[in-house]
Amino acid sequence: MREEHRQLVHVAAGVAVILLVLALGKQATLIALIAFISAGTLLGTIKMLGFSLGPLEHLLKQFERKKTIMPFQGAVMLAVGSLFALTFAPTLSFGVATVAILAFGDGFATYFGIKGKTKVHWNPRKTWRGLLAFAIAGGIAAAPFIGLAAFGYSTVLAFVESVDLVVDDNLVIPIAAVVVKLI
Amino acid sequence: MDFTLAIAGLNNGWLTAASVFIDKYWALCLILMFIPAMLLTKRRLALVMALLLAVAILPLARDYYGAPRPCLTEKTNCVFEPGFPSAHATTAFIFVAASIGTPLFLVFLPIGLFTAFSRVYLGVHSLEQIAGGIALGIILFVVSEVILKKALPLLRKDTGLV
Repeated sequence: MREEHRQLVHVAAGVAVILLVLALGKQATLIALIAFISAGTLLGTIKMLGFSLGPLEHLLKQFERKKTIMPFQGAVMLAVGSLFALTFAPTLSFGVATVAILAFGDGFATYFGIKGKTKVHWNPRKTWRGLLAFAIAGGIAAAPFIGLAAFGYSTVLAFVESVDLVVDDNLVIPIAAVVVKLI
Repeated sequence: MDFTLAIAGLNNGWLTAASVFIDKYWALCLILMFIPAMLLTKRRLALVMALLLAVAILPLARDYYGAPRPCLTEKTNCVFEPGFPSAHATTAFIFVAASIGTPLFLVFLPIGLFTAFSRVYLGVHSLEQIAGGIALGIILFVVSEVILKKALPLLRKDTGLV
């Protein structure tokens, strides 16, 4: 599967979390995320133990990156990051804004970043084009929830995402967002 | 619908007995989970590090957020102190995360989910508090694993001890 399609799924998953919060409320979304994490890790474990996942194998082949420790790792980490954002953020609107930045910022950064030529000085794998795409897309997506401050947060998180921190971006971005907000 | 109220409002003899057991003897439960985890998982150091990080971070987080426990029922004694995030959920899900990919996961996941549920059922934590604990537990384990993956080769190279 092409990276563009994978990022489209990433954005759609983030939008689904936001819509769940808006439609069913915070608690129902938390339950859904916990159920998703449990199911994802369970399927991942079944696969790691050498069993077939039947029709889900095709899905896994289509969407999963090759260099992952656990099958469904990307989806599970996105759910864990969203769960962290919604619970640790001081307000629900900031939690939802963080999920929006995570979904759109990270998604667009990868989509546009791949085509960028000028690398950032501190990480040869990231480009200025991707960083800018993260800041703008994340800011626009989060603005309905926290106003113009979204662009400030999104810019800070774009720089954090561009650093090679080894930990999954889906976890780093929510943690950084909450820390920046609390500071 | 308030799910915290709905779950705390349930009343079942077996559920109460199991939940109170976990409440009273959580340290024993942790030891009983720790032994097979040390024997059957490959990521033992990360598990120990995540548990140590939890011991350090949980009191800080609780003091910082200061979110009170709901104390909704009389099924057990509820201490009026900050309850976010839930320590039971955090530690239980560190074990769950550590056991991913091993047969032990099939035991630890139900235990972790039931532990989290039992805290809300007893009325000592809200749904948000256990959800925060679950997220924190998984994140602490992932971060510990990544740090060790980076640090261990360096330690081996420098000291030859690890």
